[in-house]
Amino acid sequence: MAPLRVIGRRLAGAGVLIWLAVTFDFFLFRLAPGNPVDQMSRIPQGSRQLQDQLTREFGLDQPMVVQYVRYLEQLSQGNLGVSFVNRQPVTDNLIDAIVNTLPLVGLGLLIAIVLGIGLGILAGAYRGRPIDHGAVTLATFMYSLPPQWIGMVLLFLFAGTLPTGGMVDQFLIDPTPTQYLADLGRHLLLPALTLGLVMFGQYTLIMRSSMVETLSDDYVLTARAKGFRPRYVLRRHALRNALLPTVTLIGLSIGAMVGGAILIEVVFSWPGVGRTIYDSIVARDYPMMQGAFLVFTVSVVLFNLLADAAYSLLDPRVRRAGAAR
Amino acid sequence: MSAAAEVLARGRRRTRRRTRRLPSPGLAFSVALLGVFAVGALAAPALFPDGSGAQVGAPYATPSGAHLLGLDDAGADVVAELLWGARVSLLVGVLAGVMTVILGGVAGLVSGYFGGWFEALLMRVTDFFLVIPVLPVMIVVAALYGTRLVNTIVIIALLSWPGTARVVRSQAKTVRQRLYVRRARAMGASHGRTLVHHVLPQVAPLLGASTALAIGHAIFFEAALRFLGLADRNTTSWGQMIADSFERGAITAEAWWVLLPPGLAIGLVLLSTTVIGRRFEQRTNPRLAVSHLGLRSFRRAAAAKEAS
Amino acid sequence: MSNNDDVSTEVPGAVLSRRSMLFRLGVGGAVVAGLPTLLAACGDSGSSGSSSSTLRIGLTSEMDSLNPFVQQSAAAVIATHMLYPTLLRLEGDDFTVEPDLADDYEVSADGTSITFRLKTKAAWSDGKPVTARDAAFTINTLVQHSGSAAALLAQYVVGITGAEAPDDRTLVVRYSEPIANALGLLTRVVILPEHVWTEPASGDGAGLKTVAYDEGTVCGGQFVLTKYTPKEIVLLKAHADWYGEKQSISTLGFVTYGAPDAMIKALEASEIDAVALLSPSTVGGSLERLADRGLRTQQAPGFVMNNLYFNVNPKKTQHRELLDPQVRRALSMGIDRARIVEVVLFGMGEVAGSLVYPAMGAWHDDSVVPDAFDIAAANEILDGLGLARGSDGVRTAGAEKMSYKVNLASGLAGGDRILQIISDGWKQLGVEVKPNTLDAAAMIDAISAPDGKYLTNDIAVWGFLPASPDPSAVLDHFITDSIGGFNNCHYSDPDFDRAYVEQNATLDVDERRSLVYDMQNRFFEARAMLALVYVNALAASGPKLTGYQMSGFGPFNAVSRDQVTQLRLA
Repeated sequence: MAPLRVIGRRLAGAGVLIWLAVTFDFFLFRLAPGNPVDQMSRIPQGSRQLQDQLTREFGLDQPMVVQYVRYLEQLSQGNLGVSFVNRQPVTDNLIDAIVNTLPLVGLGLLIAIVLGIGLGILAGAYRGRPIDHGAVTLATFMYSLPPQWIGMVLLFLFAGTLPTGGMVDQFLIDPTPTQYLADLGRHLLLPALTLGLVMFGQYTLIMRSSMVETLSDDYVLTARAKGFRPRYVLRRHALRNALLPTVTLIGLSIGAMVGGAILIEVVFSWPGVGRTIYDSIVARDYPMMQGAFLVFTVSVVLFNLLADAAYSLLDPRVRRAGAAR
Repeated sequence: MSAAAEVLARGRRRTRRRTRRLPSPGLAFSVALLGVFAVGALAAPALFPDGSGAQVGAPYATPSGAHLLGLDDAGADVVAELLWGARVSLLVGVLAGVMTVILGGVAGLVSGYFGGWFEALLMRVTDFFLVIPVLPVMIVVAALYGTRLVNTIVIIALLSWPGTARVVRSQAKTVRQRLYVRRARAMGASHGRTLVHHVLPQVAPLLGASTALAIGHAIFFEAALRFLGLADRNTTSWGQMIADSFERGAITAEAWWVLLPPGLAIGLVLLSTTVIGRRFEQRTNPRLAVSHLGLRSFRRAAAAKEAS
Repeated sequence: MSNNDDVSTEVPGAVLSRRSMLFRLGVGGAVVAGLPTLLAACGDSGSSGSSSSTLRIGLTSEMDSLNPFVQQSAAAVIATHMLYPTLLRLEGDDFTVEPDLADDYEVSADGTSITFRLKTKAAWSDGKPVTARDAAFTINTLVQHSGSAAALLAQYVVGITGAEAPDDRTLVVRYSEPIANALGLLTRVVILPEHVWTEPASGDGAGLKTVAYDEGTVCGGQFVLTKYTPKEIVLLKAHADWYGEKQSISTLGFVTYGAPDAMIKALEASEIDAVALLSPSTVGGSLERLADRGLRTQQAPGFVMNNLYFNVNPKKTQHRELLDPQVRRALSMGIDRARIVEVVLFGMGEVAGSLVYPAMGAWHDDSVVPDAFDIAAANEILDGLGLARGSDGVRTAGAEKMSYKVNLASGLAGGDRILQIISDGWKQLGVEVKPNTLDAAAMIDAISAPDGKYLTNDIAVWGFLPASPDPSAVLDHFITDSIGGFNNCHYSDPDFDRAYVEQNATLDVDERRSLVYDMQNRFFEARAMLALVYVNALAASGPKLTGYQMSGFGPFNAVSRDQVTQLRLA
């Protein structure tokens, strides 16, 4: 099958998926009890007139289907609308939040991948030995701990040594880039460490599982029979295949990361996507909710496309199976 | 059966015997620990008949002989809260976790094995669930359908299973391409038989790991919903204890006896279920005991080969 | 001071975003709520490069917007007030009206017009003078768009028909009828520069809400804006042409924290110099502990009240026994308010009875005494009404068990603990509580369900924080017109409504007070709303800050200038 056609089909599938998610979100939010107008008009002397006016202003007076069509039209032009709450474009609000979250998730994920895969390989290679038990026990335990609790414990332990809230010291006057980065790093440490500690465990467990699986495969035996040294076999044969499920899992764990980010951003006052999502849900700020969920959806879809691509590169069996179909 | 498979089978039998002989302090510890929590949870009404939240002293009183883990922000005994909380946390974790794995395991196994339109359909469904942000959707759904415990459990399971399905399907798909599976089919084994006897054992370890992870997920989400104020306040749970200590200044009060127990309890329980899960995984899939990387097993396998 | 609001939301209806969680966290509501904030000082401490006159203040509520037509966060209201002139301000424990941009003022004999003489040296940050025309423009804009774009501020221009500026220094504000609290309300109106806001105010005024704030925004108050990052910081610097008393603080920053504990830790580490209003229920009862760490805490009777609301709509469809005031009185007697103060507020508050707070000074009628916790007497009342206990110990009324779903605002600080105490007490009365936790948006829906008809709700537990220390700010919650708004009880009493209008237009203080006394007694006797506790305002600061004055709205509020000018940093 021509690779271009495969890619085209994948992209079309992704598009349909995004549309489905957008539709689901749109109606889910509007079915939730409470609406932005009731809240915003709940002020002294707040009048029926004000409610009607806000309802019109937000376009909520239209039938839901009309709202939906309008939303899709808007979306097709790349316009995410205007936040009900602060009346600024959703795109601007989201970009601010994403820019803030990237360093947190980036560093957190890096910590998780390095720790997780490293420990997983160790555990898999030394299956049954104390190092395996230790790694698995540690990974499972850390993975089992609630992120907000890890954050609180770190707060309890490191308050005073490291900053407890915010992204940067806002009172640094005209910091040099180096100072700024150092400061950001200090503020980043506790939240990113929390995220890393939360995430690494599952990578370790899956990595170890698939290592163990792989190491019992025939081709590993064959390779060993050919006289290759264990380390070489591990690197050249076992690792590549063992990475497959882990790669899938990393793509899958974006959702958990967003969940973790909500909790961690709350504990550490981090002005990122997690808190933006939570805040917009509480305010029933539909355009912000839709925008934030859309960003999430698109990034998961993209990541999964990449993971699939990596998957077929890594496992010739899957490549063959795909071609045969 | 090929020579290689023969070799594997022999090696497997030997290893299994060896494995069985090995004592497992981790397993015993895990079972004991779960037993303690389970018994404690069952005994909570007898030990602390006043229920959760019963005030017995000043808020944040330090641990003492009468109250081993001190008192919480409402002046309730932390031990009592832990035991009452265990009832809810364990229930939610196990029910939601098992539901998740059943849904995800069946979907993943069947779609990975059969492939074709069946796989395509299931994959689209799981794809859909995967691209909506779970916790935020849970927040919305909890607001929509209320915060009763049973709702929490169902919400968690319904939104968590696609993760398991994806991983299981990857594995099943790989397994079905393997020579001996194809050969079994060629020799006339039915789909059902092939699935159960050849594919399932290869996927079981993943299911074991998945169950442990799913219970973790469930407890994570329960605690998260509590943390966000979207849970049934008729009951307490370990997640609720964490939420309370966050909201009520336990860190400022330096009340480590309130902050630490619920998180540690969650960690220990999940650790235990995972250890047990791994054990189960080794029993159902002896192949896991084989590693061709190790010198000993390599020699053994090679020797077996020669003998044949 | 700030916008009025339910406690759980720090803002009026609010949208503060973090309502529900963070909110519960301390903020719970209240906390931040108000106006509070404090300041801090800072100095050379810590690792930051701040100068010695930079005050860093921690908040647990975020600034949703600095635009006065959009903002609902109490903290944001405070910041905006620092950016603009106001005609008058309120100072001292009793919130006395004092001149600000206006040097003096004169109320006409019939109370329907007020003439202000403005200071001559005031200037906007772009150098243009602040004149009476700006003030007239602002007031007329609020009046003109009071039903739409300016709705959030309409409450402050109630009764005003228009304003004019006969010359640059003279402002005349006209009223359709006398308004008792007219001067107090005007302290809440920030004067905007006409030359900047004319264009947004044109047409239907929709442009007012989209004005964005950044460094270049033209201001004319104590401070000008130097940095604003939503959810993170508002940084202000002293306005060189400020017309009032000079303050020693040259830079003032408000930093948002998601968790009270993190904020207190930051204060201990001198990352900030003071924290804004803390909620007593979130500080772990550890004031002495804070003092041991060198922090200074202050508290004062506050304006946050936690309440239980019965739905008293005569048309309600279920649990109609709750329409009987005797039943409600018995239930009130089954609530151990003292324990709520002790456990939930860690002792920092008072048991509550009257709708009009003690913090409102002379407006509060001391003769309204909270119902004492008396299980025996309460049981006697319920027995006397023939509400017999079933085999499970729960009473029945008609065909229904006295088992109530109680809607609880997730944003209410310590709310689940409050409900637990209520539940413990009611259990002894043979009444069952089934908590139902909802976020603010869902709470509003549930209370007025279905569709604003108030039929299915029985009981709700929430709190509120009034917008001003004037009794009208709480009394107006329970007039018939507020049904669909803050009137969570569907309370409707024509006599109460009439008295409200009358007291609002009574200029004689003693006369008005007796009307307000009558109203609070009348409302108390009805027991549609059970006031549970008054929550103290609480604040903390580091060792370097002095001159930090506490009030019921916290050490920092939107109507005082002295609270800022008197601050000194070591």
